[in-house]
Amino acid sequence: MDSRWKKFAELLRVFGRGAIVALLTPAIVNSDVRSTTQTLSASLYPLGKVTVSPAMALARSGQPFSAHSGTLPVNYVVRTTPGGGGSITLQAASEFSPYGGPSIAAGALTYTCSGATLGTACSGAQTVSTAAQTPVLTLPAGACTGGGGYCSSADVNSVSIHFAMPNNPSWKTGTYAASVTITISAI
Amino acid sequence: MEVFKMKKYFWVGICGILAAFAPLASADSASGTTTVSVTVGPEASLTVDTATTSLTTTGTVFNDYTGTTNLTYKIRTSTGSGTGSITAQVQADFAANGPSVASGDLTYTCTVSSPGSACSQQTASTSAATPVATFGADAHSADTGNSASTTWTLKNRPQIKTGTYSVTVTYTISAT
Repeated sequence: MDSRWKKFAELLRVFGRGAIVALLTPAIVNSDVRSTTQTLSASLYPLGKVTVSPAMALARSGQPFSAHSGTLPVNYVVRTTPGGGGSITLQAASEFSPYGGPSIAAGALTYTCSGATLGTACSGAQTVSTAAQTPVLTLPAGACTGGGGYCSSADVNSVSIHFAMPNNPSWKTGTYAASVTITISAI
Repeated sequence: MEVFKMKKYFWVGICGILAAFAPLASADSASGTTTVSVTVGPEASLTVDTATTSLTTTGTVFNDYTGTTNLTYKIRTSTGSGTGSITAQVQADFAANGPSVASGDLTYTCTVSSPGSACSQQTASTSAATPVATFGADAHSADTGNSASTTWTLKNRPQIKTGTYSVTVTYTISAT
């Protein structure tokens, strides 16, 4: 091969590579691929919800002047933190009305707790107060309702409050009512 | 560019506010309310404290036999038109040749603490309940109960054969 052909071949090699680069360059410019990361996080806070029947009647059981009693089912769902806990408490929002019958202030309304499906029900008889909350249930740390595993198997937990009231002859006949508030707290 | 900066500051502000309130969400409480009610009606109960009342005679020959039966009652009558009562009735007469309820040999008087009113002297009967105490409207005994009693008098007639005689007396209390 003479020197002219060598030059031509050299030019073709140089410009051909450039042509290939020129042909490929537009494609590279029009396609932009970038990556990034996104962290998804959810903060699950302690929560509690309690549901009770809007009304319950105490009834005399058996003989005249035997005590009145009644059971209030309390349903609840709750989630406590690993280092927290919770509770369900009870407080009378008002005294029995009308006047002349049982008196919460005089200790006429007491209760016991049983059947807690999550947590520990109150121990012994508690006296309802209008001035302070009294215990119904204690919830442990890391407690959660539903799903099984480390949570309760029941989708709604429950505990029963058994109210008791004496039947004093000194009370006037009539129907007496008092409002009672059940509060659940989760930390 | 300016709009972009404003948006940036807006979201930074929102995040700041959320962060500031985050500790408040670390505890939660909720409540439910129920109304507890009780209906208190008229009621009455009675306890016979003297299970067996022995009638005895003292003093002069053929003096009547006497003895006292003690009772404890609880009562609550309705306001308005409520009433109450305690009555006594002999279940069956004394045995033959003994004293006779039917003949009026057995009488009694009553003692009743307030709020009851005691009966006047009564002749016991096997056919009808006879009064011991009466109560008016809105009557209330003490929570531990109130006392009442019947003091019996049995005629000591010479015609009665010697022996031991007994009857059963049923006390009934009621309240409306």
